[in-house]
Amino acid sequence: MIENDKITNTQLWIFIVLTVIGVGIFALPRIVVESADEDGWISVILGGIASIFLFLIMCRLVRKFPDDTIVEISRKVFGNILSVPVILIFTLYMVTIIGITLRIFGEVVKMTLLLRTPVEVIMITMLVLVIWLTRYGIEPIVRFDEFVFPLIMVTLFFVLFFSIPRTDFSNMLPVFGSSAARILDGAYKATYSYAGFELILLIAPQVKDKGKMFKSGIIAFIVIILTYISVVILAIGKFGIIDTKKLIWPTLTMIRSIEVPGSFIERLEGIVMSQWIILAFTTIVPISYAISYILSRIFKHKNFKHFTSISIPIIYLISLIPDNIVEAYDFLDKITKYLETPVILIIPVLLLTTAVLRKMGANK
Amino acid sequence: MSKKTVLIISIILFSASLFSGCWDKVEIDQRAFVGVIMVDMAPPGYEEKVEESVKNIPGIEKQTGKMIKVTYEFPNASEIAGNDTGSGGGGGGEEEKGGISSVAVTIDETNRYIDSRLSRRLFFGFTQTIIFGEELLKNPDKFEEVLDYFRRAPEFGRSMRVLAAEGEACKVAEIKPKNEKLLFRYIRGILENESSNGRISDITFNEFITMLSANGDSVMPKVTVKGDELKIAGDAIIKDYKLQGFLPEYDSFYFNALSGKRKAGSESINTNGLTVNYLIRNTGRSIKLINDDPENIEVGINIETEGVISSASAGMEIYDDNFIKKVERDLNDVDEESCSFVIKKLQKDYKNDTLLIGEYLRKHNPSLWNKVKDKWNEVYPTIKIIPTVDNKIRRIGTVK
Repeated sequence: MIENDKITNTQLWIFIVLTVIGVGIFALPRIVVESADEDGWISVILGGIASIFLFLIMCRLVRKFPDDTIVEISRKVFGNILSVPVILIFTLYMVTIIGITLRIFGEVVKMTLLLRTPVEVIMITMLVLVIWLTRYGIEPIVRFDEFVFPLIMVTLFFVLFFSIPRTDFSNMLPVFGSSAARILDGAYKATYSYAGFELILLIAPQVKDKGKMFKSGIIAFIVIILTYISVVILAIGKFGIIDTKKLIWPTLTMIRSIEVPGSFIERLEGIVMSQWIILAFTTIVPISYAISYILSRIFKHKNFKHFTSISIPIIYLISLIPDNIVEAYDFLDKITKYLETPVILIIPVLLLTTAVLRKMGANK
Repeated sequence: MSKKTVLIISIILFSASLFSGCWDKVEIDQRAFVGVIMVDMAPPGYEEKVEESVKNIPGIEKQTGKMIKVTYEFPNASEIAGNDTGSGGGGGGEEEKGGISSVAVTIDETNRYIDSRLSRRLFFGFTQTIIFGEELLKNPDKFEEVLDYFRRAPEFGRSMRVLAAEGEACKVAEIKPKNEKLLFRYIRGILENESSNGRISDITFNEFITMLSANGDSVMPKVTVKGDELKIAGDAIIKDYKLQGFLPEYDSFYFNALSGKRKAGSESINTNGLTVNYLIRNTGRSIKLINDDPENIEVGINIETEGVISSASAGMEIYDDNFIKKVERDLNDVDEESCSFVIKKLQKDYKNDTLLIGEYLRKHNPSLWNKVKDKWNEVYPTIKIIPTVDNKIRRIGTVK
């Protein structure tokens, strides 16, 4: 076996970018505009900054325990019994978020590309590929990310660039027209779109240079925030706030309304969507890996691969829970509220403060 | 080893059956690429006839509504390729002229009915134009429903163009375009030419919908069938999904300047009893709030154009700065007069805010907007809109 469990810092930020940007980007403009109207883009920035702080807390935590994942850290800090709910919440969050991501992925693909194909087939096909890549481990996953990153970024730039014509940027006015409370609410809701960086709690032991982990995170967040802001601004400019609120996936509609001037090509969505499938893939695979890995750590089993095949049917069943797309987004809201907030905010903060108070772990 | 080979082969076979995408397999020659869709109300008398025939079916009264007639125009693939359709091809040649139409309560139903009459499957991915009949536009509920379909259906792109037909929309399908085999290209070509004449609002489906949902007022270009030709000029004025009237092309020319949608155009003026033609190359527009007293709002619309003199009556000495300045002044006066006329029409007759004055106030003067937004419909006709036009003749061609 080749040694495949160390990732460099460049790989780390590419990994974070591709993990964070996923299916959330399609609904993001609607979600922030619903809360903060024209100031949705400010919510995006605030959500990003908040995520950077949370990432900083996680980095502090994992640097105290360089060889441990969240499972061992919580066992050490909280003890064997108290750590059970922590690990349980973490696992439950991973499993539900991947299930719902898979479902939204399936719905979008069915709506735009494969109109007559059953959504189950789309999701199972995806899961087969996910098992295949997950079983190879973290290093092949990040190498895959590295490979597709330029491709996706070029497409993304292309899409954003060609969306500019026929966009009325005065739709952004008035700035600060909504209240601060609504902007903050939008920022809170935008956090689902930033979720994914919490995987650092699991993959930190594999990062080569742990000192530069936070720096990599900053680069990743800059890329993500810029992408998100452009998407939100273009969507508001193209559809105005009232229509943005009405569209389930404003970004998708934006892609569909691209008109390349003077060209015979219309319907670029086919090309763009095929890239987006890769983007969804690079979001689902890391979480699937995280689930297998966390399970192997819980059961103190050496090989995480055995848990991949076990977890996949569970993920599939969860993805089938919502009856329709409205329920799927309600489900997602619930996950964000009751599972994501503990996972990215409460648990890391509690662990870090307790570790500091108990003077545990290594000091820098 | 052999066990492994068997495994690999079975995986390949399994994935082949999984990945073949057989649900969505449609051969390209089995698709009818719909280029233009025309939507009308059902012809008079049709609904009664249908009602009569389904009278005894239980629960039918819950399934009926106002009916629409949808006409689809799609090119015959073999005709484009240049092959004469000797073998017929399912009567495709006949359907070519006049399109193919069906009547039902919703568009989706007409799609199904057409599918059952065609050997091909309707495909809307490349639909470029939707034409709405006058009667439909006067039925706000039905029009809203039809628009909702086009918005909701994932097949349609949002860069389609929308047109309002004077009279019945399906008449458009009956014409035989000159120099062009495909009706949708013919329409698209006219639209492109005409938007450089400035007499139509160059507006996409997306812009139309956005305007309509943002403030309830919108415009779309008007199309008229004239013998074997189409004339696309003028604008249809729509308020709350209801057609209020058509702006004639002369009015549209100034309306588009006021709304900032006009890029180019041409107009002539009588100076010293002789005619000068001014060809506009570029137009810019800006709105300014002059008086922000909520009782007494005054808004200025400033139009700036650049252009050339393309022709003048023989014997005129144009190579003279004073003369050019005078032509500019005369043009300004005439344009301002015409603009005021159009503004008055929109404000007083139609009470229609397609010039987006309300939007402007909302974006740039939120405090004033908050005071007037609840009674905007009453306030709008009373505000003062002052157009100022600044024409700049830059070039005079190759002769003095």
